[in-house]
Amino acid sequence: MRSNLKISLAFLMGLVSVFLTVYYYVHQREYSQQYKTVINAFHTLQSDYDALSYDILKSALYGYNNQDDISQGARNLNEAYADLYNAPLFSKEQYLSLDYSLIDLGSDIAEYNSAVEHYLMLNAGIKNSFVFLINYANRSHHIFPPDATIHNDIHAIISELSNMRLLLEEMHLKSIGPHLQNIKNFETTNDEQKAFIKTLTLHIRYIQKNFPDFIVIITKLQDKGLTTMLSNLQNSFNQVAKNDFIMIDRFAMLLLVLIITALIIIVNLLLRSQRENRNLKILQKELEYVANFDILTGLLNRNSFNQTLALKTYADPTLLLVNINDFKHVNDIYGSNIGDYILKEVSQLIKLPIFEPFNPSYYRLGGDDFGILFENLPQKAAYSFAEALAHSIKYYLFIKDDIEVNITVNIAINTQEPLLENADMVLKHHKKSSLEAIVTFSEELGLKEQIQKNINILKSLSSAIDDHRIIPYFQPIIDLKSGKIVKYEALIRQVSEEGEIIVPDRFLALAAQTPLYRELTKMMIERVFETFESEPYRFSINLSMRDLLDRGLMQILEELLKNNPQSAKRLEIELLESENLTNIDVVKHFITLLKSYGCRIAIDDFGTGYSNFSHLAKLSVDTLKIDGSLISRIETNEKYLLTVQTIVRYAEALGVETTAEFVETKETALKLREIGITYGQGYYFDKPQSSVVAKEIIL
Amino acid sequence: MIKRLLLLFFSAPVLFALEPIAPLPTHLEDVDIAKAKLGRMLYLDPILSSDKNVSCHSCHSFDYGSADPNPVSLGVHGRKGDIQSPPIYNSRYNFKQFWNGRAKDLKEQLNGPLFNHAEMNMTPEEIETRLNENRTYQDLFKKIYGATPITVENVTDAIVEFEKALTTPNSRFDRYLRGEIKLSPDEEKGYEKFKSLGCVTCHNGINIGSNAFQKMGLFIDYPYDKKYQDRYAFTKKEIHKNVFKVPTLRNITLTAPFFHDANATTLEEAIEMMAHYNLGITLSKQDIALLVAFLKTLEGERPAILDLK
Repeated sequence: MRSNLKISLAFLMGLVSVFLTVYYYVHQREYSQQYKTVINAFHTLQSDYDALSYDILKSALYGYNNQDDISQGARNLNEAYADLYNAPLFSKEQYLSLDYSLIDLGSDIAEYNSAVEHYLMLNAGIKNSFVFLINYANRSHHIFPPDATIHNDIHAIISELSNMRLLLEEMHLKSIGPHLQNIKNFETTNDEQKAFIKTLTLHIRYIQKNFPDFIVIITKLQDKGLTTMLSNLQNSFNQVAKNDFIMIDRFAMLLLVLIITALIIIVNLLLRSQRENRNLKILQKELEYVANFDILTGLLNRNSFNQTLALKTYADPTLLLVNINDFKHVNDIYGSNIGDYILKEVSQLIKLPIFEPFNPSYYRLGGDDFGILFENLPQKAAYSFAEALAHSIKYYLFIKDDIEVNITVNIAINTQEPLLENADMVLKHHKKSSLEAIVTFSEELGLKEQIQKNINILKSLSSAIDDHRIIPYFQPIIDLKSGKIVKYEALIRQVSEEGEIIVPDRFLALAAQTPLYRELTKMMIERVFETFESEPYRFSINLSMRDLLDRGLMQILEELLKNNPQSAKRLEIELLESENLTNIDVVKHFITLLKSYGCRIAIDDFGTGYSNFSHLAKLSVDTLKIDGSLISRIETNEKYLLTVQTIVRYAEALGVETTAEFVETKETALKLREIGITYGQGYYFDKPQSSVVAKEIIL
Repeated sequence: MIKRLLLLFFSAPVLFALEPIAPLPTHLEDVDIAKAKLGRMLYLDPILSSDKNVSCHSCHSFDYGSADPNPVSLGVHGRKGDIQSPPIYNSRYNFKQFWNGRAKDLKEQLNGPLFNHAEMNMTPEEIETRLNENRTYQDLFKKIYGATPITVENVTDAIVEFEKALTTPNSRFDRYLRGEIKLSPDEEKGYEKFKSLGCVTCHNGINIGSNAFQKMGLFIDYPYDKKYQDRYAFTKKEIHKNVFKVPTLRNITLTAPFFHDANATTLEEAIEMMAHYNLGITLSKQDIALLVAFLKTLEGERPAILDLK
């Protein structure tokens, strides 16, 4: 579940549970109050009923009695019932089932009350009659003669009535009949006796007539019906109320579950946010680490290096820039696994204990560049530190997966700002020109000026290309036997904006390291073909073997050959062997291609540098151009002469022609002809010229 | 339990309890005097009768113990009532109101005479209309009840409040019960007779009666006349014929004539009739004199509210 949803849900549940809690509280309180009202009404009703019963008993017991309590009791009972009947709870739907019982109870109470009224009426008469009868029984002896039979009848009746009231039975009433008849039949003329008999009869008859009713009413009053009914009703009520309480309980439980769920979600969210916070902090630390440290070696990185310098925390800083020599080759040969291993090892090796006093910090500044920054390091110490470091790495044995690798480093020492740039510059420059492992940067090296100069050259070259100020010069090549010009070598020239002719020594090597080189070559070849389209001479252009690997350039060349088949037959390519020519097959293939157009192939500058005899055997070369440094010395040094002679013999054996450069004197020319060199070229014959001019050569 | 105690009652000589009669309170704590005074004004005012000739007081006169000396009272336009007017004094202690107890309290009772055709013959609307037109009543009701206009409920309430104040405390007998005085020998003998003859079985409690129903003619049938509204008129039960609320004996010396039908004009006559019909005995002249002596002690003080300024 998404966090937002959870938060909304928790909020909603919280809201709902607050609402429900309030609802529950109000409802529960209202219900409890209503329940209490009913229960109280029940209790009041029961206790009023009990009190009334008690008062009735009291009235029955005492000869005379204050009946106010009874009338008040009856009123209380009615009011208590009204309270119960009107209790708000009974208007609720689930309690409607009790309505009939409630109404029954009401009519029973009304009946009970009217029974009480009836009882009071009867009780008064019966009570009074008994009192009278007992009093009269005593008086009879004063009124009648002692032997009068009436005494027996009176006593018999009193006795029967006494039994009757003891047993609360009416059966004795029948047995008093004859005695009552005797009394009534008693003959007398005495007024007092007559009055006595009349009153006596009246009361006996009253009892006779009303006692059965009295028994009925007493039985009714002692009936437990009302109590039973009340307790039944109360039970039914409690049953319904129990359901209500169960509902309330369930509601409370539901509420509890809701609240707990909301709490769990909230706690969960809190925990999650805490966890995410923690993760964010970890991530932040990682990012900080990555920002400042190199992951592979654990050293500080270049960013950190820049920051340290920017903050100028180092007073008088010295940088040792350590570069692993030929590290690219290590990676190529052994794979990046071992390359990484070496980088890690080196990152530890550079931490020499002797550095410690000078607050060193260690950086990986680039692929195979490590930096060590020192504070207040004396110049001499810097040099010996670098030596010690180079030494320790040189003799350290890197072993990984049973492979041993030897590593050497170059180290630049620099105290001049910008620290890294200067160190880097001097290191690169130094690698080209020196075998020394250590170099110290100083302004005197003029590296900056050199770089500026190079930039200027390239700028001017670039604008020359744009303005088509790259032009060919032509130098004739002479057949030494006939002394006739047989071909021209095309040589590249740059024309400056001021019209000055600039020789390739000043720009070509530099241009070869830039994309400008291809432009130059392309422009050159095109111009040469233009020139020799209308000239009958053979001509040659210079290409390095490396140029043959440039497919784009070769396509342009092939296109020109196709379009100028006549010129192609007169073309000779002077190939300059390259130091690191690895793919001889490409060269062979290209030579075959050129030959199919009728081109000839010459090897330029043969006899020095990387001249490779085995290549000569493999490649079907037409001419060997012997290097000018040999030719210019044959006059003065026998060894050079011998070398040239050997080359010539070798060429003759292969059936290959030879050309000699740098022919500057007549003597040299004659000597060359003498040892059998086919062609000559040099200032003795003619300088390179901007156009092809046939000149008479005198040998 | 009832059976057991009843057996005890019937087997044992009659037991005597505490005195079966209670004295009236000397002071009333529950009366709102302002309302009672307004009630007094209304009680005395014929404005509450349709012909403006009859007031409550016309039939329940303070001069006759708050009863009517005539056998039946005269209502509006000289219409005759059908029963003897019972006294108002101490009626707050009656367990029910009217001769046959058809009203449960004073408030309910008041609806009787006010709207009875033969008595005051009013309608609630008429009462309200009349009183609301009356400046004095307007002011008084507004002062006491706060609300306007005057309602029948408030009118009833005020009269009831007045009636609640109509008690006659400090009779000689009450003072005797409280132990403040001694009764004369005749009075005391009369009280003894009152109890031993059985009068007290019905006439007891604070109002010496008025707490139960009893049949007129318990032992010897009393002539039945259906024009008198007895308990039967209310319940339609045969046994309730000639059954009436037991009347109070307080101030009985002032409220002649007696009984619902005013059949006894003197107290002696009434006592003689009661002994005959309801006790089934014949009393000697001497006994009657003693009972009268006792009954005279039940005459209480004139209600204080009547003279309250």
